[in-house]
Amino acid sequence: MAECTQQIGMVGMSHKTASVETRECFAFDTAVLESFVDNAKKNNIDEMVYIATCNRMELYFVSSQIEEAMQSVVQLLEQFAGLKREQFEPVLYKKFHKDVIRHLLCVASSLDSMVIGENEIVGQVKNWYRWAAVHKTTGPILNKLFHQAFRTAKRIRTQTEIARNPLSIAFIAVELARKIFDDLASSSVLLVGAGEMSELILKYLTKFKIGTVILANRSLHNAQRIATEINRDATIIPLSEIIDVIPEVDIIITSTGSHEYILTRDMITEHIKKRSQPLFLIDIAVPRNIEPAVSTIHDVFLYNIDNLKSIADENLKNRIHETKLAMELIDADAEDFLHWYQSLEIVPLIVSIQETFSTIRNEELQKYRRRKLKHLSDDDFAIVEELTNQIMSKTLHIPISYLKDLSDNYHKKESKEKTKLLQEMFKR
Amino acid sequence: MTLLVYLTFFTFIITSVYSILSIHRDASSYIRVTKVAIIVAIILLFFQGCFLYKTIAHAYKINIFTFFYLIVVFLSLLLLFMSISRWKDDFRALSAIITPLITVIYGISLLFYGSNRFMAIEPNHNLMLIHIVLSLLGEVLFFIAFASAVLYLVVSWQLQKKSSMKFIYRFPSLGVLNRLTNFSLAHSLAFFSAGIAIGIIMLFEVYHNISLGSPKEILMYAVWCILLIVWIIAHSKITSNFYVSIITIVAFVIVIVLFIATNVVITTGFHSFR
Repeated sequence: MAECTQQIGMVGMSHKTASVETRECFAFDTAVLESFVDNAKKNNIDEMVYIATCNRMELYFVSSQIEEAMQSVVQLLEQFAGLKREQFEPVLYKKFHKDVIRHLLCVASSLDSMVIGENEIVGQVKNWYRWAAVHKTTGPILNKLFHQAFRTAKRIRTQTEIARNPLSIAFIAVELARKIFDDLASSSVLLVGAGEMSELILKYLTKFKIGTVILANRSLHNAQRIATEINRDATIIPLSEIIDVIPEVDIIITSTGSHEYILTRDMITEHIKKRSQPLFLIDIAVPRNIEPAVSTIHDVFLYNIDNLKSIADENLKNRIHETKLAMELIDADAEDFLHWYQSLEIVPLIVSIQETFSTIRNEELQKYRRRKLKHLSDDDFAIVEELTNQIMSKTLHIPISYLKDLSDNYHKKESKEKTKLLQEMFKR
Repeated sequence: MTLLVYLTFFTFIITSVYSILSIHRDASSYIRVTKVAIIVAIILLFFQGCFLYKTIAHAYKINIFTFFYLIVVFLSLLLLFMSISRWKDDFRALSAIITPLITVIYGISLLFYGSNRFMAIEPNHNLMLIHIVLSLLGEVLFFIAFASAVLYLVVSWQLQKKSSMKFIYRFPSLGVLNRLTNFSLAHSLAFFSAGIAIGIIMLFEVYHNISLGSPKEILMYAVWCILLIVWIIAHSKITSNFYVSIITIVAFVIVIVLFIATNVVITTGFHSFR
């Protein structure tokens, strides 16, 4: 029984091992992939899922002859990628059994990603798994493994802070805005000047359906360009008028080349009196456009580029710290999957016991039919058949239940020994 | 009954610990325990209510412990309602501040357990019950306004401090907290006004007078005036949300001090608890 057990393997390359030039050779389109899958099936590969993202290419497979299957997969990769084996084999990682389980859980949970905790990877893995399921290249083992991976990814997202704190400065600014204002749709933003970062923040705010957009710029043409880029109706005003609109806006992003403060504490103090809502100021400019003393006014929140950067650094530290907890969850889930996977070894034993008893029953019934029960009609004999079947089922119910209990605890040495004994008993 | 009272107090302590842990450790398991503990506390309060009802029904009077008990019941039910209403996303942060305060109120009430300071109930008038329920709802909502105002200052302080988002994420946004403060203040004033109006009608029908001039009445009118001033300030938007929060906190503290002073320090002769 042990030699026919199916095993899991994987082969792949990622941003950690291979250059983009190498990785792109293995990004197969679906037509090529279909052909790849057909070839794989002919090479003792029973189940297979291919994953390709901008950062990785991985192939998960199940085979009863795992070593040979691994060789076949590498050969197929050589054939389909159009590269010589020695060109890509050094950057390939090959994993078997427990390492595969752990690796997939890490990948789906974005612990192996370029940006730890990013959101996209689980969706990409789901898409590729769906593709494999539709093309019927998955089976019970990979189905179970991938569903476990999705569950683990969800668990890590909800039970750790790994994906919660943003790392991009623009996104941090938007998240802060969302922590200040109840509803961005009813808030307004004033962008003073232009710059890559400030425009990015504005784009994110637009994505979150910010209400009114006011653009203040030295060049009206530049302001018009920004409005076109964000695809929004915006009020365009000259720089000299920004003071007049301060009472109307909730968020001000400054990014001008001015060497003097364009917004001072006195200006803000004067205007904050006319409003009850908080004011969020993002000063991206260097040298700064807003007097730092503004941050001492109540309900005015001033963040400059260094403040945002230090939050990004802090968030990154938090994510790295959270990976420890995430790894603990992965280890626990990988262990659970492994128990289930190992318990599969008991299934053939259960089938074997049922077959042994059924064969004995059939043989004895036929023997009696020919001799002592030949006087019975077909209907009466059917009743005897039914009776013996019932007796057999009920007799086997207890040992089979016991075996199922053993399979739940198959990781324990004692369970394995008992299973081995039963295997010997029912060897045919 | 005594065992039930202490068991409830113990449950509230557990609720408070878990609600604070849920915000400190940011683990969803803690908030689940908090919700379960609140439900357990409400069940225990219900059984207590069965005992207390006997006293009320037989003697037509409630003691100071029962008065605190009713506040705790309303607050617990309101908190439970928050966990399933539109405030559910902010339940964790709100429970972290409300449950410890409920525990404190309940703890104070234990000092009056078995107290012989009673407030007579007018048994022949149905408006009495409505008057008590509306007034208590007004007080409880004022308490919620206080809690959200405190949270507003905490979040505002965190944002000013420019600390990591790890902590800020666990709290509701300033906008939500301000909305909750205004909502609670407006409803508190409405319930309290209705409670007072019902009280006046009842007095007129029973005593043919709209005021007995009792210290209890004076206290209610004082609380109502404070509430009205705070609501006008919040509603008119004449100052920033930050100062509205401070004013709400100060007003609530004044009300509490008045309440404690009248009910605890002056032990006789002030109002109906005698």
